[in-house]
Amino acid sequence: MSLPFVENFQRLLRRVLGQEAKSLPAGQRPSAAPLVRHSNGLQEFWKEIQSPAGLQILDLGSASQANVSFITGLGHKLYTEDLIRTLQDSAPAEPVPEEHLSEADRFFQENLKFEEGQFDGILCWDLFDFLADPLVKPLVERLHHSLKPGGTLLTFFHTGQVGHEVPLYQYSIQSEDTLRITRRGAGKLHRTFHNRAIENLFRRFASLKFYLSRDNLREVIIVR
Amino acid sequence: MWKRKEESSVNPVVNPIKEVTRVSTLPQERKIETGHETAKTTMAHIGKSVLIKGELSGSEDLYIDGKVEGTIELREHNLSIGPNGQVHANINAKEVVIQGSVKGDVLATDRVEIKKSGSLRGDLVAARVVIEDGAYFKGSIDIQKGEETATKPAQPKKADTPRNSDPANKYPGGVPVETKQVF
Repeated sequence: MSLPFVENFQRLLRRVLGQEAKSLPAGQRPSAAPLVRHSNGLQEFWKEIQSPAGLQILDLGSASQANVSFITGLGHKLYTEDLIRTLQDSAPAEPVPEEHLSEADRFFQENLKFEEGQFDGILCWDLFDFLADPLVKPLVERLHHSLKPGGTLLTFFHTGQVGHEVPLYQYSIQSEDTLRITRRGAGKLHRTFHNRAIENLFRRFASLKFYLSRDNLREVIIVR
Repeated sequence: MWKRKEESSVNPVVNPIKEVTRVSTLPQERKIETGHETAKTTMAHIGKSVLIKGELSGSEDLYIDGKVEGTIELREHNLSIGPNGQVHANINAKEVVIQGSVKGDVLATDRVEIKKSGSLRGDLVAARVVIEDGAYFKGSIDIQKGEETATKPAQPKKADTPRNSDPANKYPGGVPVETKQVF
């Protein structure tokens, strides 16, 4: 058996077993260089938030100096919790037996433990695209619990195909409507959310606004 | 007639004082690697094989590369946590630089810096915060300028229960310390 055939067969097997992300064609791969882009969603987020200093904002992305400076510069208090990193660090080596706590229960016992209605705004970025299925609905519930009535949530959804490799970005706020996005890795797109699926997922919230962008990223503003 | 002066036969004294070797009473300078730059400073050092449980306080800068569980009170002095440092304590210092891992609340009158290898799980109150890309931080950030921070009392919480701490991960041996109000 020739070597390329064996390698291709192994790659096919890994893909079928879900252990390998399909990689994008070379032309479509995002570059590693930071990119500065306009964000209508972010602009709308700050418009919704507009109020005096002293609000509480939760950032669910990786810790970023730019976000710390921007948000504390507005006089708000910032909470940071990098859920993707937490998931990566705490991934169990072996599957958990069914009689034990579910994956979601275990995860939320240790993370996102906030008081009801604590936050005026939550920056969720593209977290939902990288979560395992059992964590998606509990996370929505947890966000609903943590957000004040009238509070605003900003979240992004990639529009690629399921199983494709998508870049894992660090989102740094440059100004009220500008983001600097830096690639910090890659992840497999767990699912594709259509608008209707997003509306269903967040049906307990008061309103949703969608913003389409050119770079295969949908921005959604959700108000509780 | 003229009496010739007698030439002095006494040789001039060149150096009547004995040479003395200078001795410094200052502590020796020690080089400490702090990531990219090499800081040459004087500070107390806790090595990576050292484990301390309890209340740690002092009036000089401190470098921790070992394990500390309890509380750390340096107030007007700086604390550096090296890449091997594992601190499970509430910290009160002037400036805190983190390269290792910290679980606990940090109150700094000046600056907190989390290097890219560093992680902090706890709430942070400081006048300035610097977070390198790649650093891990879980908690809240409250920026309070100089006097505000200095006069702010320490969090009225138990030392072993930072806001984000997991109840399952309490200190293994229990913390033999009491929290103090700091004014």
